[in-house]
Amino acid sequence: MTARVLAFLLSFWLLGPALAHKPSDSYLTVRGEEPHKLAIRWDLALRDLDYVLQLDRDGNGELTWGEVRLRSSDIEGFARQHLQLSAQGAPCPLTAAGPLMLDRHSDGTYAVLSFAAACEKKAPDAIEVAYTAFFDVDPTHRGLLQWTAPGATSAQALVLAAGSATQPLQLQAPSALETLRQYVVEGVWHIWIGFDHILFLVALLLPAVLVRQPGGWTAAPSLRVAAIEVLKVVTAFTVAHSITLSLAALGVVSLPSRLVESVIAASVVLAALNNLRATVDRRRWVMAFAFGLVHGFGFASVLADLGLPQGALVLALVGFNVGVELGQLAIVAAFLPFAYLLRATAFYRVGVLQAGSVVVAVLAGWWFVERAFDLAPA
Amino acid sequence: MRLWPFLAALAACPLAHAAPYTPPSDAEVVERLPAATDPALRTVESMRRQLAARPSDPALRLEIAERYFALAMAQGDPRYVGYAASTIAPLERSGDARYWLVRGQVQQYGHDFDGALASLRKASELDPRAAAPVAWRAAIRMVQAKYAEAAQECERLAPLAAPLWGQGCSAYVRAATGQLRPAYASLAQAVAAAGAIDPDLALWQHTRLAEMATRLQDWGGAERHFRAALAQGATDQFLLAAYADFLLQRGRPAEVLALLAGWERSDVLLLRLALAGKATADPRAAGWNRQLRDRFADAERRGDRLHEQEAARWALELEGDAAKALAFASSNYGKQKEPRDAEVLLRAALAARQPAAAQPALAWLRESGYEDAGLAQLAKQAEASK
Repeated sequence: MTARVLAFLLSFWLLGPALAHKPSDSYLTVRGEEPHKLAIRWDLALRDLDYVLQLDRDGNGELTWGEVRLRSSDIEGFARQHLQLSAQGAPCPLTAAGPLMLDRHSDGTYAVLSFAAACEKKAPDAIEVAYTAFFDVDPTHRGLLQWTAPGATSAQALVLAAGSATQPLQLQAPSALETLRQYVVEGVWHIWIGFDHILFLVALLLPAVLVRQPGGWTAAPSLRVAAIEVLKVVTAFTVAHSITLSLAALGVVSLPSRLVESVIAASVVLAALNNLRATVDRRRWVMAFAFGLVHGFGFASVLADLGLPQGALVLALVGFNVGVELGQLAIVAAFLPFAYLLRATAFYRVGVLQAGSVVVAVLAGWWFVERAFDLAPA
Repeated sequence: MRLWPFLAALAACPLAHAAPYTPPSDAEVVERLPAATDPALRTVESMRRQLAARPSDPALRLEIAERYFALAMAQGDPRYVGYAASTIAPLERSGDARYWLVRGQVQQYGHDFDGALASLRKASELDPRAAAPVAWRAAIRMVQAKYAEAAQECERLAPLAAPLWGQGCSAYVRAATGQLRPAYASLAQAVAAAGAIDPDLALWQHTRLAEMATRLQDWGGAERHFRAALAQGATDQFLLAAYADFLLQRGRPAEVLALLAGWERSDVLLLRLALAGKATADPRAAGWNRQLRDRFADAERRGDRLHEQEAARWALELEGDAAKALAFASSNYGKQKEPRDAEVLLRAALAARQPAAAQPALAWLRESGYEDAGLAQLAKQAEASK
C-alpha cells in the first residue's frame, strides 16, 4: 500500500456517501388500464445504458441522438429482458407502444420506452413485477416504480432494489369508501386550483350583501337577506354544473374544450362587468345557473384526465361533485362574514366591489383571449 | 392563469417530467458521458474492456475495483461504488486480502459498519503487513465513537506505515478523548519536524490540525493550517467542507462563495454554498436551497438514509423546520457518532425544544471528554432546559 493511496483514503475518511451525486435510478410508471392490461413508461438513464450496451460508438464521450437511435432495438431488448411481469405464474408479454424517445431528468438525459402489457391469465389480486436492470453491474441501482391500480386515482410508490427485485402490484381497486374519499379530495383540490371557477363565484357573490337602489348600492338590511341571496347563487351554480358534469362524464354530451374554456373565461368577465353596470340584478342566480352549465363541462374534463374507475363510476362522480361543493362552501364561508361586516363601508363598495370587479374582468378577459385564440403556452 | 394547475401538479408530483421528445437531428448531442472529461475514468473503462476478454484475471479485476472505489471517493458518484462491488463479486472465494479490503470499503460506504469491520479484519489476517485495512478500521471506530478500539488500531498502524501516520491517527483519537491540547501540540510539532512530506499526507494532517485549533478557539492557528492544507494543491472535498464551516462560523460567508464556486454537484458543499448564500443574501441562495430540497426528496423516495447529517443541518438552518431536523439528526446519530453528528443533534433538539432527544449526544460528550467550546456551550443549554 503506497503512502499516496493511504493518504487518499484517510483524508476522506468516511465522508464518501455524503459527497453524493444522484445515484443510479430508473423511473417506471405503470398504470393498470384493466385488471390484466397495463400501460408502462420506463425512463432509463442514457449513462447507465451506455455502461452496459456501449452506446457511444465512436468513444468520444458524447452520445448523439443517432448513436442512441441506432441502438433502440438493443435498448428495447435490454428493457424486455430486465422487466418481467406475470399474473398467476403466466407472463404478461410487453409490446412496444411507441418509438424510443428521450426526456431530461435532473441528472441527465434518459431514454423513454413505452410498453403495453397484456397478461395471459387474469390475476385475482396482484401482478408480479420482477426487475433486474443493472443490478449485476451496480447493486446500488434502484428502480423507482409508480403504480396506479386500475380505478385508482393516486399512485403507489415501490422501490425495486437488488434485495427486493420482485414485488406485487396490488390490483384490487380501492374500497368504495377509499374511491369516494379520493374523488372528494380531487374535487376540493380542483376547485382550489381552478381559479376561474372561484372568481366566477366570487364575482357573483360580491353584490350579495348589498341591495341595489335607484341611487346606488345600499347595505343588505340583515344577514338573513344576504345569506338567502348567497344560497340562491350557490345552489343554482351547483345544480347547473352537477347536471353537465354528470352528462359529460357519462359520455352523453361532449363539447370541445377550447369552446368550454373560452366560455368559462367569458362568464367570469360578464359576472364582473355586471357588478359595475348592472344588467342582471335580482336574478343573478339565473346567470349562475346558465354559466354553471358550462363550468360543469370544465369540471368534466378534469375528471376525464383523472380517469374514471370502471365499476365505481357513480361513486367517483358523486365524490368529485361533493368535493367541488365542499370547496365552494369553504370559499363562501370565508367570504360571507367578511363581506357582510364590511358591506356598509365605502371601502367595500368602491375598493372591493368596483375595483375588484374591474381587476377580475381584466384578468378573465385576458384568459378569454388566450383560450379563444389559443395563445396559452401549454 | 393556466399556469396554476400546472405548477400545482408539478409540486404534487415530483416524478412528473416534461413530455418525452425526439431530437430533430441524429447529430444532436443528447448526453455527455463523464468519461469525456475524466482521464482516470477512461483508463478504468479500457481496463474493463480488457477484463471482458480475460474475465478470470483476478489482479486486473481488483485493480479495476480499486480504481472505481477511488473514483467514487473523489467524485461522490455512488454508481462507482456499485461498479466496484460488482467487479469484485466473483472473487469472494479467492482469499485475496485486497478483495476483502475493497469489500470492507464498499460495506462502510453503505453504513454496514459491522460487515465492513469483519471484512477488514479478514484482509489483515490475509496480509498482516497491509496498512490500509487497519487505517479503515480506525476510521470506522472513530465514526462509531469507539475510541479505545480506534486507539488500538492506531497502535497497529504505527509499524505498518510512515511514522507520521501512526502519530496522526493517535493524535486524532487523543484529541477526541480529553487530550486535545497535548494532541494538538505534539502533532503540530511532528508535522513541522517532518519537513517535506507527501502532499496528500500533509493535506490530511493540516486539516486535522486546523480542526483541533478551531476547537481550541485558536482562530489564527486554524486559519494557518487550513491555508497550509489548501496550499498542497489537491482537491479535497472534506477539506473544502471543513474550511467552509470554519469561515461560516467566523462570520466570513463571502469567502465561502468564492471558495466553493462551481461545487454545486456535491451535496456537502452545496449545503455550505446555500448557507453562505443565505448569510450574504446572494441571489443564488434560493436556487441552491431548492436543489438541496430536491436532492433530499429524491434520496427519501429512493429510501437512501446516507445523508442525514446534511439533511438535518439543511432542515434546521435553511428550512427552519426544527422537528424535521431533529428526526434526521436522531436517525443519523443512531449510525454515525462523529462530533459533527452530535453537534447537529444538540442544535436540532434545542431548536425543537426537546432537549431530552439530545441525551445520546450529551452522554457521548460526558463519557468521551471531547473538548470543544462551541459544543460545550450547546450541551450546557440542553442540560439547563431539560
